[in-house]
Amino acid sequence: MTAVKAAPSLSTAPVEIDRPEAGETVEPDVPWIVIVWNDPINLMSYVTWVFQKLFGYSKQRAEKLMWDVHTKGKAVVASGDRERCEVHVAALHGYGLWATMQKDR
Amino acid sequence: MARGPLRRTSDGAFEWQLGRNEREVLAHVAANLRAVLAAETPASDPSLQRLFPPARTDDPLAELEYEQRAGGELLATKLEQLDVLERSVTARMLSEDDVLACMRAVNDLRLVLGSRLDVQEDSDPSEFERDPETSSTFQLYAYLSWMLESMLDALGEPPAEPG
Repeated sequence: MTAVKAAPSLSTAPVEIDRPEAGETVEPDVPWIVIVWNDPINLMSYVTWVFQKLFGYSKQRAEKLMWDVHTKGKAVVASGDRERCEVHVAALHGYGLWATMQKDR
Repeated sequence: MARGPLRRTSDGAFEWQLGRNEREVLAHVAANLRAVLAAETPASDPSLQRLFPPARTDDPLAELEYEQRAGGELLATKLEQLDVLERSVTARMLSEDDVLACMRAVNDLRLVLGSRLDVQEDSDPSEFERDPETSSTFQLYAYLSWMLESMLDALGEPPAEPG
């Protein structure tokens, strides 16, 4: 929300309002994140293995993420542009993991 | 340590040895789930919904669009994997792609059975075993969990990428 601080004085000089260039995105370039949620059925060893397989993470990093999912209920496992995150989510769903994506606000 | 029915051979293929009973059970449950998935929309059964989780819980419209883009392919892949599992139970040798497909099919079966049993983090296995209504389903669920572990063992660790 914004507030008007004082009455503006209007000049008669010609005013140009900047327009975005063609192809320029108006929305700020917020990255997307991929979240994996805890579920009681997927095996810990399987979840770790899937993180290693899909993202090329070291065993140590994959296990840390798996423990975050298990103990905190969720973990951000990847980030990037929307298309890339959609590919990750689809791949995680292919392995039966409960994954969602959202803007990283 | 050869503890499971699946073993990587020196040429990179996989040898798997299943008992007759295991072959029959795996082929039966794979064919069964494939038939159910092909015939029904997941919305009709909560345990099937587990196989098709939402991608966008923050935005219903975006979720609908995602489902339209990706849902068909996800279903087709799952049907194909169940088909590979059903066909592979009688094979002696499997390729790595076959093992990956079978593993994902086995996990899908676990997800459906686990959802039907309403398995929770703190579930006590002996309760499922004692209850005549759940004992056979739980036995199958436990078998599939063991099979999944043995597949992970045989596949070994995926290579880490730098960075």
